[in-house]
Amino acid sequence: MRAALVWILLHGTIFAVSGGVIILLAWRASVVLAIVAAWLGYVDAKRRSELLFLGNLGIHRASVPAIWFLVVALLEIALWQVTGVIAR
Amino acid sequence: MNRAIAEFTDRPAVNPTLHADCLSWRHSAEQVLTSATLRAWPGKIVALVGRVGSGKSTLLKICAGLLEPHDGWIQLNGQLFTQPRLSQMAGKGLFYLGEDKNLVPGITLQEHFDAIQYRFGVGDTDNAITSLQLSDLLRRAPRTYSGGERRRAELGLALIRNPACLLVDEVFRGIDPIAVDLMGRSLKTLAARGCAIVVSGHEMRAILPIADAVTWVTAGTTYDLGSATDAMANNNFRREYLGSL
Repeated sequence: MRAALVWILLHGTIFAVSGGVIILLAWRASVVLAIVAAWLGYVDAKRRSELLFLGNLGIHRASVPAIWFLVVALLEIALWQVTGVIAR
Repeated sequence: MNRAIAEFTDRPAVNPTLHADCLSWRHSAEQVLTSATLRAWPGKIVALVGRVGSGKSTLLKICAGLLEPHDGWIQLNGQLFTQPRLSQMAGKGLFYLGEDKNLVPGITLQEHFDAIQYRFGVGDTDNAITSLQLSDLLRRAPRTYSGGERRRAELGLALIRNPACLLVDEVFRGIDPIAVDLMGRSLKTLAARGCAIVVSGHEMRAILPIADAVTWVTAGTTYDLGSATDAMANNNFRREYLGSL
């Protein structure tokens, strides 16, 4: 949820600042963005003191960055698909 | 340490739920643990005691899977781990309460309880709320709790999880006598359900009465001192840790 919010804020800001331009990243840049998001997710979970509680729930700490990575990657793919349909 | 050996052989022939042995750990150049052992038996409370900096918290963190030992092994419910992770250990029935950061500050206690029940499908919430007087805390986020309220809420998580093994670091630190009493009774209740419990701390007047066994951490290793009464009678332990208590 937080990953999606950050992604929407990022693209929304670019859209607003550039006067309505949707930035479509190349796949390599998208992977880099997803990796940065994963790192941000881990830092955020640590800052919110969530990792110990998640551990006690049996959830590995690597799950947090993995989910952020997946969410951002999927949203990037979705953006390609949607803009592709609109362009057609 | 003949006394310790003799007392160990007197222990009931029940396999410990948690058995960690030959554990060593160092931080930079400092050797914190050289060869430490920790055992926790079902239905018993073990007090892990020792001076500040002796390695109690380190030992608990290793057993919980938060620190990787440089040597040694850990057995939980018969399964052997050499490089455990908390998530693995939690899946096998371990619950760890550290000195802090056990609760997520931004969500309510009720949401913590719901998460545990959703994940493990267990938990007598009503009993935990009643026995630890948590009803006023349920709808509040932990960031608003006092130290004593926070500790009671954390133990509430353990009661609902109903783990096979509970490790609690600095169990009674900074809490008032009534909360100590409530928490002591809750720990006894949990032990009576068969949970193997290890608590650490320096509040000897509160810890020793609830402890079935005492493990002393000193000079990088551990000694089983037997019951609290036996520990109180141990001259080395009195001289090097208890003082005039």
